[in-house]
Amino acid sequence: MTDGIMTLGAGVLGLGIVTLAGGILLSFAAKRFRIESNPIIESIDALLPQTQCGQCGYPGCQPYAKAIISGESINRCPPGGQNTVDRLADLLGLPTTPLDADPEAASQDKVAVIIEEDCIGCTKCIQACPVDAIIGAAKLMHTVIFDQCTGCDLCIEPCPVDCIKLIPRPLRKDHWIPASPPLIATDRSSPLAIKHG
Amino acid sequence: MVKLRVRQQESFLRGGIFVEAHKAQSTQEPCTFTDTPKELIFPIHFSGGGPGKILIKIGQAVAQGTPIIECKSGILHAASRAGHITSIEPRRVVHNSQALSPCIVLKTDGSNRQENNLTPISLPLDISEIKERARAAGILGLGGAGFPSHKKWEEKVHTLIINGAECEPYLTADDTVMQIDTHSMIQGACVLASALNVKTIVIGIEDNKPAALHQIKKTILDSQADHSFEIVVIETKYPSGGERQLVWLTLGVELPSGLRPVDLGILVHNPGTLAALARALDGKPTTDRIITITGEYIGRPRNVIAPIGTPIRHLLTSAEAKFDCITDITVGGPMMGFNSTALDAGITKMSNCLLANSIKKYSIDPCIRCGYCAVACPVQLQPQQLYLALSNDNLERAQHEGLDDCIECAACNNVCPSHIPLAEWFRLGRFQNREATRNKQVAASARIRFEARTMRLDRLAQEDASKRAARREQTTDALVKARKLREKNTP
Repeated sequence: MTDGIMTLGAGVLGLGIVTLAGGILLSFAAKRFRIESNPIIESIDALLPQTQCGQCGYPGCQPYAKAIISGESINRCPPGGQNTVDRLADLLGLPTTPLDADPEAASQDKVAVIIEEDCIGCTKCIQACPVDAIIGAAKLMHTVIFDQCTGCDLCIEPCPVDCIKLIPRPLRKDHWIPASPPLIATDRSSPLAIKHG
Repeated sequence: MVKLRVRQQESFLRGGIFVEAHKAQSTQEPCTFTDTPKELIFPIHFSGGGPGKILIKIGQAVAQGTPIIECKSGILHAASRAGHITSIEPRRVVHNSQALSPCIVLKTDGSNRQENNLTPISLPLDISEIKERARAAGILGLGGAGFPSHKKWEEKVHTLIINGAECEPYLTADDTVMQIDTHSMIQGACVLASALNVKTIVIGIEDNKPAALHQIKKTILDSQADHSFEIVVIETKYPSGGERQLVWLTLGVELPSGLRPVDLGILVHNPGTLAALARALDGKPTTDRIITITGEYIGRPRNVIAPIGTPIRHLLTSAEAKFDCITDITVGGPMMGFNSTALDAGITKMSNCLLANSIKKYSIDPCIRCGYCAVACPVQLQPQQLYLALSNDNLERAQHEGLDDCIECAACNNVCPSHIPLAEWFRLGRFQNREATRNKQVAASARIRFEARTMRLDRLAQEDASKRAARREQTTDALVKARKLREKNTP
């Protein structure tokens, strides 16, 4: 009888020590390895096009992602287009809304180009560029790194001599788009098709 | 001592289709040189290896072998005959897009002046030396894709496969190479194998090419090579000549999704590429290729050795084509080729066949989900599911169904009772997929730059603030000291 109680006591004590140690470890880990960022903001940010253009009224894609969490509408991203609105609606379980911009203008892929003869080297566009895609120094000519430019147009406004313009992004010389095959009406929007994976 | 083993395939192609070969048409006449055309056309951006740079000037006289275009991957394309450059102007190109693109137009003068900037190099060779030579001599995969060959010659290569399957119907260009250019092909393979320390050279050949098989056997036994050769005779079934399919059929290795053969140390080359490499080492850049001209509207279907840049019309004329029946021709095989109406465009290194057949137009019917395409698919995809996803603009779903593994072989097109152009859908889908991936990468890099900039601005602002605080403290200190001093001095 006493043996039974002893074994039980030892078990309870042993497990108690283990759980206590685990608890201390976990509470320590929770403080030590705490991650500040909100995972929902991260996943919203991942859906945004990262042009950092500020057309949504926020100073970049991540600030807009934060604003969406606190109730901003999801249709304010023109570069993302309707597709992004749909995906955001999907992610957040909200009803999808039409894009708050002209979809035609929004869908064009553009880059900024500096008319180099006219550039006076004021560095104002360099300071405005959200992705550091303009290089140059004071009183020296500036230029845009095409591959890094997101076409956000934030550099157009600050230029005192209006020497920056937006052009359609230049394509590779051997670029081609395969022709769309003819579509049979009955094969579209079949009930078997599942939207977004 | 050369070792040769001939065996039948041990693994079998899953999926695939049996198609009427029509190969006998173009093998009745021997392969000959075509007469030099008056004009040669070289597209600057579509000659293979990416968009190019012009290396010559208008009016300049060039010899056979003078480099005229340097493409993005560094490969130099040479003028294929002597003459002078008359103009650089937009012309239609032999490409899927049939785009108007700047082309170099060369007027030939009939002389055989040769450029001697490449000297023959002797054995033994270092792989970097061969790579440099392949680049300078303009060696591209002559099988049709035009991948820069030297980029595949990596250290880890342990097996070289010569792709002599040529599974596309109508095509006999590789067959011809293996019959008339066997020596160069074997020589090229041996040099490459020695430089890469490859022990075994495997030749995959379909069983409908007995003449080529015989010729290869004879050449290997006559050669002094100390490599071991293995000829694998495979069943004639489309698409056994696909790179992945051939690796499976010859070695029994199934490539994981997303990996290329070279990632596993397996090098696959077209016979023509290896023959061109042997000639490049002799100092002759690639200026000609063997091309099949065949089809029901061709009077004398055959293979010809044509200078790169020869206008299609010239080749068709020399093969006595019935022009009044031809509206467009198929470049490449009937399965994977494309139709082109640009008869005045010049052939490129990737053009292996001109096929002039009547093109049957079918009306497209809805998918009835019969599943024939799934049986025919050599990579075990479900084409009907892919089609459903793509026709509903659902790229993610298509990707989930394995769109990335599609080899665009068009076996599914061939069996579809509704005549749905499935392969075209998949080509478009794969293109959109690549674009989407590229956009994602661009967005990721923009995000990194934006975050780095935000952090930098924050840091600068902080540094500014702390500096200001320090200065304010200094001023306060000085003021306090001054006040104390004043208090002391005034009794």
